[in-house]
Amino acid sequence: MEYTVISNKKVCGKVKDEKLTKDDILEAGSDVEFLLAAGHIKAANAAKVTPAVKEVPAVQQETKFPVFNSVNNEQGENNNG
Amino acid sequence: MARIVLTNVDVTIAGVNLSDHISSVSLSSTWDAVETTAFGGGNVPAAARTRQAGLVDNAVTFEFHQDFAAGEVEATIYPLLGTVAVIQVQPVNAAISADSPQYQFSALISEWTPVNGAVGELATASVTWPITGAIVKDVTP
Repeated sequence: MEYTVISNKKVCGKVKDEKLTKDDILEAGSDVEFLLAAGHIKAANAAKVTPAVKEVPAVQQETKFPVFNSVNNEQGENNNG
Repeated sequence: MARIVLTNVDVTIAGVNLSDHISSVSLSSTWDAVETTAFGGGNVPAAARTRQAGLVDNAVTFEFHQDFAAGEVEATIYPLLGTVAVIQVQPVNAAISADSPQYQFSALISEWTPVNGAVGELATASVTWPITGAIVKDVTP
């Protein structure tokens, strides 16, 4: 797996936007989890995950959910779906 | 070899180069002096104490300029507290050689002062971290 340097600091000998492998990181005496948590690197394919996340709300819109009648505060059905 | 003025020391902590936020560095090694004085024996009494080297105790001291921005000093050091981190210090930022050695070691990140300073002063953090194990002096290009 590859990681991209996002920090302004030199990380394991690489500068911003350069790529690192897990082996590069271990060889430099560092740790992937630490560098991710500290905001120095991100997974190189992280951008590909974003569209999948955006699709989730579209699925949720199709599910029925209870609505309340604003006049008498009784629970009714959602007729929009 | 010419004398050097420290202007571009290269410091990497857990793979992250923090040199531009460090204003002071000190790497020290102190050996225990184990006394071996004994009676002289024969007709020669002991005249002076004798000693030999025992265990070495290494430590590194840094003065950081504090920075809370993402990917800067606080974000790097705080998660390392209580852990052992690999550190590299090179007095001159150049290719490693006999004239430009790099010191490599593992230090216990045992202290941190995230907030330190008085009104009008630069926020700094001065730390001394004990080194676990030996210091490796790398001169191989």
